[in-house]
Amino acid sequence: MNNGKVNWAGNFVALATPFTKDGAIDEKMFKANVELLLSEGADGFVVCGCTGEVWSLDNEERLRLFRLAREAAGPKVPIIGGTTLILTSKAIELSKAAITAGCDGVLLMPPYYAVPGEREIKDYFKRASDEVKSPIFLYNMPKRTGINLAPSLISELAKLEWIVALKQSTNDFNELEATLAECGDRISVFAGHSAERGFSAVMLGCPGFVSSMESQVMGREAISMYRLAKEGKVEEGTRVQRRTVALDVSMRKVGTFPANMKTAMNLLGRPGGFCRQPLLDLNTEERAKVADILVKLGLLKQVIAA
Amino acid sequence: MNNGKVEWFGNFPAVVSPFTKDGAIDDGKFVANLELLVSEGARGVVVSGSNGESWALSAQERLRLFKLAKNAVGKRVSVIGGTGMIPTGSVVELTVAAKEVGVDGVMIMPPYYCGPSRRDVIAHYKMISDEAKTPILIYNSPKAVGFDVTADVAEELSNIEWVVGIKQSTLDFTVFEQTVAACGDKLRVFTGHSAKRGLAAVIAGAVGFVSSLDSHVFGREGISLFDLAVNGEYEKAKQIQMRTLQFDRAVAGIASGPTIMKAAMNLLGRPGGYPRRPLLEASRGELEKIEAAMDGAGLLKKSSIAA
Repeated sequence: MNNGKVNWAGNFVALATPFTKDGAIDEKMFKANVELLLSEGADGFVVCGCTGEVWSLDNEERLRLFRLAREAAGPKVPIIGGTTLILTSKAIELSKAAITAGCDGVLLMPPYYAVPGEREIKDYFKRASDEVKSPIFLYNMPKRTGINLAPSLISELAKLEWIVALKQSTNDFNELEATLAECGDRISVFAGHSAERGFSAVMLGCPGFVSSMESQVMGREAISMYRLAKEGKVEEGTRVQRRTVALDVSMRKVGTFPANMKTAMNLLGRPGGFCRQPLLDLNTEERAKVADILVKLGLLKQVIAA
Repeated sequence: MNNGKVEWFGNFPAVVSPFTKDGAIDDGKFVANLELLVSEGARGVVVSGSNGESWALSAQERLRLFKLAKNAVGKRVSVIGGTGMIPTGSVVELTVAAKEVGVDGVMIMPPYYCGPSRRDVIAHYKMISDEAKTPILIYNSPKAVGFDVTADVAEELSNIEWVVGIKQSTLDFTVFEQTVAACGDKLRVFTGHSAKRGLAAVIAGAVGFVSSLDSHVFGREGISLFDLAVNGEYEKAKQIQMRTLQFDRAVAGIASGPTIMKAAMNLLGRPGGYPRRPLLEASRGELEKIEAAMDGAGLLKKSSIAA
């Protein structure tokens, strides 16, 4: 239940975690990315989400990134720290530490891989709310977790004191609408997959969205989409949205995410960096495909020899 | 490529990790369970697999369980340690440590949750093989992991030096058969879901089971299924398979896998213990359903055990 606890709104970018070739965190690039996106209009940041390869980071590294993001973004920009861990007790512990490290809230998804039932999911978030006592950004990402939080379940979780917002990344647009209808008055329902539907989601009443690929590759142009929607500039907004869709749809066919996004960032001279294993960087052939996509969208002047 | 590195054969239960009510590992129950299963015919044990709630165990806890298992039954049967995690570097580290405490091999699933490509998965196993140089049992459980080790991928993986076997838990039996055909000569092909298809898998060429409900709840009867199948005692094997299959169907969906199994074990006086959060112990209502399913299978002596 938000009840005035937070006033998060706008385009919150889920940040990449740039690694060096040998797998260390490239702190300079990380901070440069935060600064660049802020200058291009980002309203907040999600640190250590799926885009940030959270699965590859240990707790100390996550806390370090939270602190760096706070340093780079300054005191006022909302920073949400991804603290999902499968064990309830560990997720709570890390969430508390994230708040101490300067996060305004934490992003928590239901414990993936352990295949919990509904009763267990409720228990997980109830405990988190009771013990963390700081804003929790619920995250529904069925494709990765294998668990879909139905709008009715989300609505129930939205009664918990510290559940203040939701990133709704179901692919089902009807469910996004149903979620807004069920509990949009109690929690801030942010849309995921903004490259596909960020504009429509805001027109529909979402206070914001969590973006990734399009913001970090297209920069200012894509980030402007939120404001265009708020100002009701339908023609301009849908034109941008069509381009972000084109980017996302073609990128999905090349390599894995976020390796493909990082490649695109690097090709454009933005701070992407390398991936950490198990994700490998794109091979030569895939890099050429990414360059081609960028050229077609007019983001890159010419195909750079990979 | 196995090439004679291991001779794993038979029923290898993926053992539960019994916790106390407040979430500590119950060493006594863990060891008692291993002793019981080995006395009932298990020829190996898989420690810290999905059945053992591997996601709920720290690397240190996993190593401690490997050591306990090695000391308890390591002289009599093979001990395989589950060392799967997402970051390749962490898996290498844990696998090397597992080798040092003396496990006979490790079981590793492809990195889950991060949506890896085939190329990522191959590189993951290659790195672990090169660095740890210890027998690796691939674990394919596409539903939980989100990546499917099809026969084609298994064949490619079988060329990696220390990949010696696969626990093929695809729900698609055709893929299971294709896996045996594609690399049964290079890998020890074990089947998962033995409660459902152990007999069929042996006929299709499986050299072992990584079993769960069937061994932990049915004990000697469930474990014997593998030997009966291998020895061609199909009628007897079929009877047992029908019982484990029906029980598996009867309890499916009541709660999460380890929760059901632990509740059933406890009802039988076997050392199940509690699950660890995020999984919860069975509620009263769930327990009643599990008990009814067990009663239906004739597993309980009396039909009324106080819930």
